[in-house]
Amino acid sequence: MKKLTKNRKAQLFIIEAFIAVSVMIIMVTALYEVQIATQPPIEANYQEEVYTTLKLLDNQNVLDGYIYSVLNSQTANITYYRTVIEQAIYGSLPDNGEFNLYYENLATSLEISGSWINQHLAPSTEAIGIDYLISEVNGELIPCTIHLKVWLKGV
Amino acid sequence: MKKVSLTKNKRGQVFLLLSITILIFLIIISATIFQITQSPYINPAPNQQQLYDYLDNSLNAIDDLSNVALSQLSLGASRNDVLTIMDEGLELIEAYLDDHNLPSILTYDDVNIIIANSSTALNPVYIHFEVEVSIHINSLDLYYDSVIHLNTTYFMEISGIIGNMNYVYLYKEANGLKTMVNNGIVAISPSTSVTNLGDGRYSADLASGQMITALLPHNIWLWLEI
Repeated sequence: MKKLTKNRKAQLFIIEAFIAVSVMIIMVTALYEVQIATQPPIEANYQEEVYTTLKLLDNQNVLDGYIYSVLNSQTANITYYRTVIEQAIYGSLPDNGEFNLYYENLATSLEISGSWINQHLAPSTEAIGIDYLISEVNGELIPCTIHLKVWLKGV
Repeated sequence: MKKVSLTKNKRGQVFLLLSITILIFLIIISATIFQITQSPYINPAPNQQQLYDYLDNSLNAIDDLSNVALSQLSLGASRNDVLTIMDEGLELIEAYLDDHNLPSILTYDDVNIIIANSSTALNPVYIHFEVEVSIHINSLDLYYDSVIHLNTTYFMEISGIIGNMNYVYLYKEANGLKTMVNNGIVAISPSTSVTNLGDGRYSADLASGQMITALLPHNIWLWLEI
């Protein structure tokens, strides 16, 4: 080491190497800092809000009330429950939120006809899908899956 | 001996210095690359919350099975009918969980299933259903193993003294928690007017010889003879 530190070129080399290492460490640290400081892109998470709404509607017997009226063709009740469901789900979405849903009979894997809400609306490609299971309809075992799609207009 | 000459030799010293420097670089760079691969951009975790939602949803559905059992019991179903309802219901909920990448095994204890329907003449009348359901989910993203105890009783009770402006009470006890049922429908025969007070009380003129019928949510029926 003595020889190396005494030689002028060697001294220069050591200083250079030292600077290079420091710069490298600083650059790598900076890269890492930038990487952790950058927020991942914020994804719209309506899923939780909508799930909570569906659960509330389920506990208030709205979801099964609706499908019971559909199965028994009770027009007045269909309109009533449909309005309640629409208001609740739109209430948990931003102003430009849209949704549609239908019921599927889990035992037969068939769509329950007449159970569509907002069928005319075409979901955007960014739509989030949510499934919700109800097992009981007016005291009878009629398991249905509600297939719900939620999306934002103009995004 | 070689080592000594390496540190004394000028080229050897340079080589040592360089190799140490390169080693440090390599360690730092590989550590950074590791950190970056762990970043949410490159390696997003499965949506845990969604999995918990499906689990929560299926627990709700299992709970609703007890409402099916109670409703069918109040309409005269037998113990075997109830066992069939439980079998079919749990099988379908299992299928639902499987469809959402949560392979599950749901079982219930058919020995300790408790069913009770009181006589219509003894105040209060009640209908009771109790069962233990075991849930076992073993997927890559979620492990869940538990036993839930469903214990639900619906009651209809009248005040001890009968007469004008008396009350019929409807309430539910689920796992020890008592809640008033304020959206039931109470009918009395011979025809007597009933007012729903909205807090689980139904006001009516009660007299001996009347038959009170209560229709509770989930199509559960109770009868009481005064």
